[in-house]
Amino acid sequence: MNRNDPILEFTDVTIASSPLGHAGLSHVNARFLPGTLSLIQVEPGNEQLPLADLAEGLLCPEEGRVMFQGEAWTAMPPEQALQRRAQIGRVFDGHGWISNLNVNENVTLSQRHHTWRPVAEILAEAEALARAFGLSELPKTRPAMVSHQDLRRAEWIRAFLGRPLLVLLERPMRGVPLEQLPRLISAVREACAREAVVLWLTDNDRIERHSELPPAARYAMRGLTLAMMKNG
Amino acid sequence: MTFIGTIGQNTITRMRAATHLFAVLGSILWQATRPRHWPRTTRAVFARQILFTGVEALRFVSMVAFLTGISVVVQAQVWLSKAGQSELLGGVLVAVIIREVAPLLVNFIVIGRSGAAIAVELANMKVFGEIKVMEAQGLDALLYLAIPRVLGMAVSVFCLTIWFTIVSFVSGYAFGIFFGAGATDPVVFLNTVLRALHPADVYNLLAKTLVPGLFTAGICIMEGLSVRYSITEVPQAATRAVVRSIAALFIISAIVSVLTYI
Repeated sequence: MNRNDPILEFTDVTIASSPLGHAGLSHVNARFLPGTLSLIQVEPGNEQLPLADLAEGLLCPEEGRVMFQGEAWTAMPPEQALQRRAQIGRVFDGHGWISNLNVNENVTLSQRHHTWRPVAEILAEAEALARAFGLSELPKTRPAMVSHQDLRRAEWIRAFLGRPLLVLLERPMRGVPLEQLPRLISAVREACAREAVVLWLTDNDRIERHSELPPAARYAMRGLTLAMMKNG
Repeated sequence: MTFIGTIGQNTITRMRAATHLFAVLGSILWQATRPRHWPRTTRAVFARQILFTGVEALRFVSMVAFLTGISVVVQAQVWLSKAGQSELLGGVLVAVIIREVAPLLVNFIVIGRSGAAIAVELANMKVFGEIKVMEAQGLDALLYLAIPRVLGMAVSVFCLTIWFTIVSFVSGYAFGIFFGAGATDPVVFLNTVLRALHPADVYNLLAKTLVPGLFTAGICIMEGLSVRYSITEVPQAATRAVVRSIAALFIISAIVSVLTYI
């Protein structure tokens, strides 16, 4: 793919809201090019957006299509879709852990499953990311035994581990003190520098206005539609 | 709906559920034959399942086998001696322990220990959205969760049954000597048992251990993943899983016994 081909593209995507789950979307159009950061402002009370699930092909739109690396998720065979998701890192808005695995096993699960990299190498990268995100080490206990703040930063480690092509950050600063923000921004800069796409969903004005944030395309949810704001 | 109609509807529902179970198990076993479905993460889950279902159950299975040996082996030795039919000891022990008691009791233990745990574990994963977390990272939840659990449970049931048989015979032999009943020569005792074993007994043992193990795991996985929204569904799923596994165990045991020996 060349630099003008979007890694992720929403074309006229419409999906109804789910009573026990996500909000709806109506005719969403957006193209996310390699090496770009896109900030998406979510509305208070409407934070459960299906954008990340749609971006990963976990939800099918009722109308329109979502393309990843030039192919529609709905057109991909299941095994190919699973392989493609290995290239996506994500910080989940809700519960994002497998309870019967330790945090270090959770963090390295995708890399251990999809690659032949030695476990020691994967763990070394994870430990380096842990230090970069202000953790003394990668937690090695069950998620229930780890503080919320450390668990959130462990999600950052998982999202950036293995140099993914697409990084989905769903309110990643929830429960984390704002002084840790520069560390996350640094990881976002590095991801953009290696031509990855970063989508950052946020409901915090202070994050959007942070001086260290790199240039970003800015979007805002207005009801069911995604409106593009001024570029950063 | 009339009474007959209700019976018919229930029968159709149960047949559909059984068909679905066979389809799921068939799919799991077929997928398990492909090496690419055994990455190191799946192999780790398989090893963990054998540890939990097999190794960690050894102590309890040994205790039950020890007590069963005392009950069955000693009784057989005592009463066959009194009837002057001691030469039948091997046949009776093979018929009772190897053909029926060992596979049945081990399966009961595994259903209670591991079957319920699998149903609860997967149900909780479903309720808390952990299946989605897995799929978001490119793991096929059914293959990653189901294949190692189904095969791990089947292998564990088979191995535990072998162990159960050995322990029950040893304990029964030892207590038989203690009470002065039966053969004092261990070689004689062993020979009576081995002479009574037929190839059909081996097939019977394999069928009554591997097949119920597969079905127990399949049923518990399906019940666990059937929950939808609420944590209150979890114990209900676990109860259904255990009850249906026990029902399947008896049906399979009866069918295997009929096919093997009649």
